[in-house]
Amino acid sequence: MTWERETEANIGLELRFLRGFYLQADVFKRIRTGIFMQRNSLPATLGLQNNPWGNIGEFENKGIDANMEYNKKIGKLNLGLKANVTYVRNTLLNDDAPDYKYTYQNRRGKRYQQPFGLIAEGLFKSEDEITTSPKQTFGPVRVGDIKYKDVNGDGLIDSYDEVAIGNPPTPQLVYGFGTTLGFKGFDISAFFQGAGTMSFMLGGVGFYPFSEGGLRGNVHVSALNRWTPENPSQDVVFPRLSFGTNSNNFRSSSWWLRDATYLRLKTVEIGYTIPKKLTQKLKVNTLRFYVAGLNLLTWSGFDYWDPELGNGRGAVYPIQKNINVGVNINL
Amino acid sequence: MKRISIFFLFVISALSISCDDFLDKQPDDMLTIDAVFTTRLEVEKYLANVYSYLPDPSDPYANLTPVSDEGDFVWTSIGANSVNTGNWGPTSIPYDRYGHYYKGIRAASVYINSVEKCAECEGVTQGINLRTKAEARALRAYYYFLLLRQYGPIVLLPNIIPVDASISETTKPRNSYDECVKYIVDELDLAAKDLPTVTQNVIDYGRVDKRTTLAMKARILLYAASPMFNGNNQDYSDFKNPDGKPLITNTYDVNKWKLAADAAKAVIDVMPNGLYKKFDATGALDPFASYRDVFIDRWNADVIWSRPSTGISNWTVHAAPRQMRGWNGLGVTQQMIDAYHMANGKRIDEAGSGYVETGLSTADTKYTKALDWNMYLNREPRFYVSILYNHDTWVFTGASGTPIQLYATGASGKNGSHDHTETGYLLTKFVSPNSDVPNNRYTTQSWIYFRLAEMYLNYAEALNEYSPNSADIAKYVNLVRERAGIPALPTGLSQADMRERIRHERRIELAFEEHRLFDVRRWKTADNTQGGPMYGMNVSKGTSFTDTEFYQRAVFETRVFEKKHYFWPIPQSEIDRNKQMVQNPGW
Repeated sequence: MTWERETEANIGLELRFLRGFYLQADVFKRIRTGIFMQRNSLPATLGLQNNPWGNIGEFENKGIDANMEYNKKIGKLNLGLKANVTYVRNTLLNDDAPDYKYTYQNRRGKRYQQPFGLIAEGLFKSEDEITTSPKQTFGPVRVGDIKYKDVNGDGLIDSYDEVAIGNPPTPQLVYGFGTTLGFKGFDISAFFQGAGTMSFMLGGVGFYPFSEGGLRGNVHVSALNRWTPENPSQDVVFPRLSFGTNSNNFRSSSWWLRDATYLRLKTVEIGYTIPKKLTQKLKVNTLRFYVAGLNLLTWSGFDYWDPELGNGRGAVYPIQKNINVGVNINL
Repeated sequence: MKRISIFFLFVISALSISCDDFLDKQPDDMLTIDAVFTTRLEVEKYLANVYSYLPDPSDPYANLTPVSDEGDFVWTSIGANSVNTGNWGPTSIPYDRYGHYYKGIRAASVYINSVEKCAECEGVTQGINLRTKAEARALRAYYYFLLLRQYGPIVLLPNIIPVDASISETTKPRNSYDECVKYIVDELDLAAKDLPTVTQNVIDYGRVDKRTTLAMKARILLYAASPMFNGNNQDYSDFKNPDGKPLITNTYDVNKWKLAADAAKAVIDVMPNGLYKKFDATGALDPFASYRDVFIDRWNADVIWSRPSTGISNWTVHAAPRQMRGWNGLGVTQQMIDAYHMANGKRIDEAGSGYVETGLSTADTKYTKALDWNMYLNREPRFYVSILYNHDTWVFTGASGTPIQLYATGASGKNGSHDHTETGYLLTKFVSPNSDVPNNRYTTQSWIYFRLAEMYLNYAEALNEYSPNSADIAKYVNLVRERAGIPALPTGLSQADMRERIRHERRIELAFEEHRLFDVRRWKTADNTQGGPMYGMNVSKGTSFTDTEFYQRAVFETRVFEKKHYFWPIPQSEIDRNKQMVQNPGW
């Protein structure tokens, strides 16, 4: 047993130019070896209760990290702009796992927490289509159920047809930008935060309607937008609904994959400082009134719940929207 | 003033930290293997762990009955639903016990290798180490057998493989079926030498004794002699290891039947008191109580080896109808209903059986009441022990004779809940008449792994194959029939007729005891019986006990059984990890 080792290569750049611009950027590549993890390559015939641990994992991270600032005074206007961006791409180099039967299913060589699932090709339109398509082996299939792609072409849809789809739930791209403005007694600041190349899989008993029968669970309002014999639309959120679990529809697939890219107005603040000559009469140094908001606006293709939760069933304590009104007094 | 400042930073740094001994300490609260085997208490715990891998078929989710044509358990999360619809494969295996039994095998091997170090154990009970070592050896052999009957030829590991062994040591090819059988039998013989013939102390009931090892041997040798593994199986001529070694022989050997017969006879000889029987007030045999109480009365004369700790209360709740506040879902197929004999010992399709398929009965009989459907009249006592049909009464003696409504709109019918039987029958074998479901009071019951009636039938089956003229064949089948309260077999049966009779008797006597699904495989008859339409009563119909629409045979499920289903698939993860491991044919 020993420590992990990390080898890092890094190129950095720091620039100041054109009176007020500042840029700092790093390009890096880190390779971590000897990650302490459980062995994956031992056959079950050994009969071990727990697979032994060892310094076997290997992992690569590479990316770019940059931030930029611009500060300028134009007459009575103080202007400040800043932005930052981080993009990291990781690769699992070794997890001690043997090759899968179909090597496209190997986790090795892919990103950490890369989701796997079937590729949905829409909903079945007719009994004919079900009988002429590759046999789906997860459970009974009826018209209105999800049709999957036969990736390995063996005429069967089974777990061998699951491939890497979408992006890991942790964003690879994180960025932010904002501004501060000052004019006479007024000040305004705003900061935006965004994340990209990130996705998650909708699912879980709290999301699949009636998957626990009628007793437990939750039905999201989007369940109204579903396939029915009267409305056999392909452009719906839910396939044919069923009572109890549905092992054909309720499984990881591109049908349930959602892009969780978002941009949000993380903070915004407007303040006004009473001129000093007025406040000095009250023996107060500065007196400032402000209104500040947190998480006021979010732009995202996904609107069932906060995409920043990165969760496929929304069952995480949500991020709160905040508005603060306040006074700063310095004596 | 213009000032532009530019500077580059170029850093390549390699970090390396190493540390040798700092973390290499044995924590005080963790036992080493050597420490375990010095104290009696820890050794006893370890042995209990070796036993703990035995299956508990009283768990409806682990029980294999619904994987056969005997029954259907209604809940969708029961693995049998995937098996029966053909929706399973190497990456999703219901009832997968591959890794589980290998864990038991390793635990047993560790125990066998180390137990003799325990001087303290020996100090308390002399000879205990040798005995428990033999118990662990027998259990290991049994785990191999359980793997063998489910997954086919398996990898034998006579020695413990260290966790840091090289790939070539950890990835072994499969042994042939005959090698596996020989190993298991040899191990059982070895274990038998150090075991008492029959466990004497009450506190030790449930432990493996010599009689148990004999019974294990009898069962495995019967399997090995059966058509599936004893020649004439061209389906498996290509079933070979990567080096070309065939795994299942194509040569028939009649001597295998002799070995099986001798092994079964050896058990019968150490149990001269015969089958468990109960008598009524007049001193006459009560076949109903006799058969029922084999599974209720613990440690009775039928029992060779049983599991003392079971989830039988859970089983009973799953079996009981909703009218008794049960979950109403352990269904029995029409195929199984039809298999039961008439009270006169004839099959329902035999001439002179007296079977009437339709119509409501008009008068009470010994086991039935007026308004029971004629189909259920004059059947053999084992039928009434095992089956609850529409208008039947629940087993519990305090249930006051309320007829159970299994028709669609009935209080235990399909329309009321997803807890319903899909076949129109409920399974009542193993349910104690003293278990009171509404008030949560249950009898303590064992689950029998081996019992004498099986040995009688094993013996008859094997004997009929290599010595078809032996009088013992009919004798032992008839002993089973006698206890069941039905007349002896007709005389003058041909070998083939007798074979069918023995198989049929076995199907009934050992029903719902996890024999059927493996029996039809070793007989190579599973193609005919396990796939296709499965029948029950028409549970979607019926509004009253007199509504005859309910009593129509109806397909409740069309099952898939293909050649490859004779064995479970080897888990794909195992195939991926062990390049020497070949997948079972067809998977």
